[in-house]
Amino acid sequence: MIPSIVATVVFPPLGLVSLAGAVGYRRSVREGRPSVAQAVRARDWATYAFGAALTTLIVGALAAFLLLNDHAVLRAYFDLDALKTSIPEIGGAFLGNLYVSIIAEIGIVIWSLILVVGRSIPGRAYLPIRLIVVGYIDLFRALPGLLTILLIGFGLPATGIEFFAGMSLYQTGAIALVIVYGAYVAEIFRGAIDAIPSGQLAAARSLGFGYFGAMRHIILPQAIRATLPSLLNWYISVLKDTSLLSVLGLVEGLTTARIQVTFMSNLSPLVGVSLCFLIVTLPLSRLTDYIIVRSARKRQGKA
Amino acid sequence: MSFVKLENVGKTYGSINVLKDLNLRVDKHEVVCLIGPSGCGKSTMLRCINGLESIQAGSIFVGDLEVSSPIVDINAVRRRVGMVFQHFNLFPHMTAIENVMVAQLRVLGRDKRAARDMAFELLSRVGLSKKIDKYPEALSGGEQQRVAIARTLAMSPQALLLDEITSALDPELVGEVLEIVRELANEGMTMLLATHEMSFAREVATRVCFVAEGGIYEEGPAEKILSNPDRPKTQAFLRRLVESHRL
Repeated sequence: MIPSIVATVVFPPLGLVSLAGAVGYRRSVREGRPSVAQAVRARDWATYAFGAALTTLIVGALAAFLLLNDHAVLRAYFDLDALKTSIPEIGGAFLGNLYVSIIAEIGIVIWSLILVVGRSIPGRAYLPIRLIVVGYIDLFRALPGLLTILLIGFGLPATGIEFFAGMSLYQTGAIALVIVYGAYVAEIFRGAIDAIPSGQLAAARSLGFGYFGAMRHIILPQAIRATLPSLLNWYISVLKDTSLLSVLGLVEGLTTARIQVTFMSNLSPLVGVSLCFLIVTLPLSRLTDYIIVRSARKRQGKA
Repeated sequence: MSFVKLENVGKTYGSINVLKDLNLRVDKHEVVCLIGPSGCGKSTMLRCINGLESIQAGSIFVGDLEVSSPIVDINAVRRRVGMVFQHFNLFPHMTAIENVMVAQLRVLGRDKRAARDMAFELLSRVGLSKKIDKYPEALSGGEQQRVAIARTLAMSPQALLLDEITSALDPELVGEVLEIVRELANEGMTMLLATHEMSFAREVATRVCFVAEGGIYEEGPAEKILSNPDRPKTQAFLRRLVESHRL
């Protein structure tokens, strides 16, 4: 009843239908008169009408906002001409983002695996190694990513070491991302390794595998499988954060869009670069969910 | 000449004495059954023999290798004694035949064809030649345990440690696993098995050891220990088994 009243206030046409349904339902139930099926149908229609009213309200408000002030908002964001002229150049620059993110993601997986193995080597002799790795992981998770990017991106070339000095901005940028994200992803891997039953390591050891052999052939392959959804999620984050590399002077997608915004006095190029990101990130998000659902179903099927 | 030898072995977890002054010898081709209540140290004993657990006192020998020595090549020990676990511990990301192949490839350095032939032969032997490409989750408990036995045999061990290998199985699947152990016993495989299957122990064991108070409390021929033991704790254990209709 109350939702129907709310619906009537915000959007009278559908709200009234909802209200009528709700009233009809109440009366039917109270008088116990017509069939119960009819009462239930009336109630269902009241609910549908309410849902429709709410949707209409939200979409309507959005449309109203875009059309406000003689379509000013619409034109500021969705100027088709501006989009058309800017998108080729933005798209080209965005390929740079994709390139850096893919290189970085590969580096991150390798680096974080090294970190997680270093963190869990048993034995007192390796205590210093474990401490160094823990310190590294804590440090780079505690610092803002942007700060690390500035430190690495400007620091490496400034060392004067030829190997680093000769690197492109894409390469130093990728290294910075690997250093930051390696720390996070190492923790993901550690969680996955901890979740593997201890019997797996015992079985591997009893077959004669050494610690590293057992890790490489038995434990890590399982951990990587278990973390695949998380890795995809982190890839999305990495791709988004490639835009931070603009602080190093890298002319990537977002920078290109901003330059064009200045030229055109119109925000559409930013929408254009948004579309570039969305084309990659949205399907990946869906894929991640799909993998999670599928593996959950698989586990249940096993139980 | 004993193949497996435990001398005055002591093992503690923190302040708890799990094994205390334990002595045991297993000769080649012997089948020794360890019986006793849960938590008496049977599994710990087996895990110490192939170095999955360390000991605090005494010494353990496998052949001429001293497991408890700090300079032992523990992987050499493990290649010599195979272990089968209560919960199978198959590698879930590999098919049955890959489970049997992986250690041959990565530990023994066999080439792929030889490893595959060996794995197929062993899986056929445990009656699973039609299921070589199944993943563990698609196999029954009994089938998983048979793959686990094949996986261990693939390393050509000289002795087997079997840690309550039928305890996690549904009753109707126990027989198929024990059948394989029976065959191995007939072929003269040296085995040390922790078990709750008393009738099976009676059938295959050359010797039965009752484990209590952190050591071998009483040992002797199966018939003697399981029918007419001398010492009170063994008698009490058997009485409980009879009362719960498990003997």
